[in-house]
Amino acid sequence: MNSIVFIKQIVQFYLHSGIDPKTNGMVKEGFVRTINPYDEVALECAIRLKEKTGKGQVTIVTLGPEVSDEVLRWGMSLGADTAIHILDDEDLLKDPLIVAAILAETVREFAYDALFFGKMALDDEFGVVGTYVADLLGLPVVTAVSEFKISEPGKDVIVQRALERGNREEVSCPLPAVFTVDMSLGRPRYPTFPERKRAAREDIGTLDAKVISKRACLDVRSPDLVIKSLAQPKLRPKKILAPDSGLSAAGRIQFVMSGGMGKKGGDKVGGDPEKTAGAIFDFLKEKKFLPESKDRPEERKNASE
Amino acid sequence: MKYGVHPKSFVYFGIPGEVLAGGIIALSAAIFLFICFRRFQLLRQGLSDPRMDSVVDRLKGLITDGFLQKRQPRYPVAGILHIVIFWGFLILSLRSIQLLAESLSSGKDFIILSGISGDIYGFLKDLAELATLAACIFAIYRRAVVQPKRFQGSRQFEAYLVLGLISFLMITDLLFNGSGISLGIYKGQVQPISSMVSVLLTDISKPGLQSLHNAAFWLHLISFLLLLNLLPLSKHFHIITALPNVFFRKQIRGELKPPRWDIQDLDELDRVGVSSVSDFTWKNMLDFFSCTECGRCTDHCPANAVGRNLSPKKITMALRDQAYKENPILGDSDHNQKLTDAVTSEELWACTTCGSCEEQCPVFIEHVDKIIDMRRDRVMMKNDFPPELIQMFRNIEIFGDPWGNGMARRKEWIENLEINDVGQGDAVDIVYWVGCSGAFDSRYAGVARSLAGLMKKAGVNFGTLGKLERCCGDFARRTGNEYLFQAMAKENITLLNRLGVKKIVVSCPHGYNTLKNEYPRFGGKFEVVHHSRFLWELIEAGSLKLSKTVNKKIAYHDSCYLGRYNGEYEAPRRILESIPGVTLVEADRNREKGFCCGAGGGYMWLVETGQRVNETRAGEIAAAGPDQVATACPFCLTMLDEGMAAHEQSEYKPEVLDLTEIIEKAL
Repeated sequence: MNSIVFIKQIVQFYLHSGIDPKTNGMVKEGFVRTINPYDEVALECAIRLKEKTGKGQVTIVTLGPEVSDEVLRWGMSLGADTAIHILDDEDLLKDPLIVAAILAETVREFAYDALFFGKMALDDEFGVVGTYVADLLGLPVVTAVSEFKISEPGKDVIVQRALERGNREEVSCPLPAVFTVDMSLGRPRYPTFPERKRAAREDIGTLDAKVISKRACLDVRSPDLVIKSLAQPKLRPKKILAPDSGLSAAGRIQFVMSGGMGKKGGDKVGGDPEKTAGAIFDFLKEKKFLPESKDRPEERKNASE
Repeated sequence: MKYGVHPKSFVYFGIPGEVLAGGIIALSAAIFLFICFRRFQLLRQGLSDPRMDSVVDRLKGLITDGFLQKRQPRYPVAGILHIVIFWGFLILSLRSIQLLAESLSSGKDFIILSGISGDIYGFLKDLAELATLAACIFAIYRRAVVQPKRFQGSRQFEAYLVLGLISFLMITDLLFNGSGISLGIYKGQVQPISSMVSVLLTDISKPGLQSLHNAAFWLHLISFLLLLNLLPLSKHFHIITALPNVFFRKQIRGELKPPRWDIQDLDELDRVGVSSVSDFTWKNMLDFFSCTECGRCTDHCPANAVGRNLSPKKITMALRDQAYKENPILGDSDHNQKLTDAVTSEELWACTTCGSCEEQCPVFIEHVDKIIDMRRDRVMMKNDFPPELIQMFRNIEIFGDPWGNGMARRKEWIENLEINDVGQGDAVDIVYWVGCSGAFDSRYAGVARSLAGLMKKAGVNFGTLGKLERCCGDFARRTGNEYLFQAMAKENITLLNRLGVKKIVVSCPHGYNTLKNEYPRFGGKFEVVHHSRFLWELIEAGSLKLSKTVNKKIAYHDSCYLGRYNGEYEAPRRILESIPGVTLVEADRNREKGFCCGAGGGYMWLVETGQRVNETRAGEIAAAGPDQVATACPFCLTMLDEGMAAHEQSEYKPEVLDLTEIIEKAL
């Protein structure tokens, strides 16, 4: 069985904020480039099928800038036979419809039985490219596949979809078809040393995204999808997940399930309004919310006298 | 019948005694040489392993640990028995050669052993014979009646046979000498035990004495040659190979064996790890020959102690059996069983690489290297390893630390301290290698801050590598992922060399061991100190003054990678002793015998089932009754901290701290 697996290199930020307060620009550190975990599971699915049937080829395709050949090397070290890199120099292609059109155009002439995608990419979470490609190639599509069974060669395949509450749905599907794969399908393997060496040695076919988009008559420069602005998450206080040991068992479970609580900082003020106001004023001053030039507390003292 | 002559001057079955003796000796010598040749062929088959460096140190070790048997008395009874038998054997092998020479040469005395030296030797060997006989009988009694647990699974028959043969040799020689004295052959020699035997023989007539003399001679000769041929066939090959094995022992204990000694670059290898007998080095083979199944390794194995299926002794035995089966003395080799079946994954993944087995082995067998070599095969070639390790490997590869926090976070532990950043160009004398634990373990980050504070107080001009530091690779290497280890090592070494780092202080013994002992092979040559030694030097020099009294009983837990692998037992203890008011208490197992916390060899990231090593150890320390427990390793700290909360040996749960935190309170 010949499969083509589409994998994406995602940029994973691991710091709380990607914005540098000094420059107000994106932080140039605190992220890693890695394979989209859903795509890794899709690749694992294709490799397992190849091992099970004992024949066929697994081809991996990625669309992205030069650095994304790292994920192709990784994919090959996991067991993919050939790799194709659709080079997008400027890393411009974000519109899922354009991405899908380029991918579909690339593989249109290939011989394949199945196309595999991850259910979605962890960075933009669109989760539509696989479906678009199926539409463009006129193929059936099954999304969120959690198990893949081949009964007999040449016959329809049976795939399982994971639904909510652990329910499963079995779908029969003729080949060739497109499958987008869920994480529950299985844990990806770890590359062996000889496979790593092979992956480092082997050639990767490179195609130019511009050439393909021209061939597909796409206007890359004016995508339908335009990202107007990007908002960063606000910094939140650290959550305390360890429940108070004084709580009852049920209370502790509830506490953990609610996601813990924010750490309460500082002291409570209350009682005498005048004292309260003073305490609030001191607090604001201490935290530098007030201009430093004027020494208000002294004035207040004088006024009361 | 002639009386008072040597047994060789008789004729037996029509063959003159001299000819008969010569024939027997020649035949058995030929068989012995053939067996040894076959064993030597197996040894030669092994891969290369350079072991001829620092000959002077090796000779010193040969004297202390070989001839003086320094490690034997750790088991007092068995150790003393062994020393007696060993020295008895050394003395008596000369006697046996004397007997062989006597039976062949025309002269009565062996050339060296004539005159005064002969008299002294005669006296000495008489005593040695009695002592050896007594030791052998006591050893048989111990095996049969006392039955120490460590002999479980050892080949008992071989042991009894050899002990019996040695005893028989002693008895026949005493009878030979005693009857010789009665017959008047030996005159003027002081042989107290033989003389006593001869007194017992006074009632026997002269022909009877001569028959006894003859019988004792032939029985001694034959049993000696039988024993000689048994040696290379049994576990008692160690009588021949143990001393060479001690001589060729590992010089840098903390350095793990590389996949190949002759090929440095991993890219040039097609395979990594051990999956068949042909992957072993000649030194591995010598280890197999030298194992006498005493079981001291297993007796001290923490994994074995908590009931995991691991016995270093059984692994050595299984590998040796495999090697012998595939390379028999005669006949076809047996390839029915694969080496990978001889040692199960369960056994391999039970090891914490604490090195206690190697520390206890009297003949310096290297167990850990073989276990890691077999792990390499399973991780890098077969993809057959505990799946929980995958995440750790991926984290190291992608984020540069086993937890997956990311390198950009490496300075978060500093909080509001002001610390030089060598990566940013600050000039410093000493680099503090924070390590992944210092940077990311919330508990240990406090220790890192304490240490930084102490160094500041002492006026040390130090800095860290900031966000440029990476995982040192220890856990990757010890879980068999040599590829990942080398990738990390090369990145770190390139960085350290680029920054011109000369001296490094490391607070994690795993990082310390890796930087100090393993990086030199990849081109990273720095002076590396552990913080315990470094702080002790600061205290000794007066830069840190321990002035406050701390009225506490403190127990120190030895970290395997600091103590056993690097011999640092003293500095932490001296620090504690120099704090006014502190009483140092010791857990039952300490220093060389120190019991692993359970985290080494990748166990920090492996799922532990059954009884836990850290709980066992915590209970043991609590039993010593300290108020506080001092550690010098982030993983020991975590493991014991958790172990103290969970162990069931007593209600008493002392606080677990790092050395730096204890020092901080005494300033």
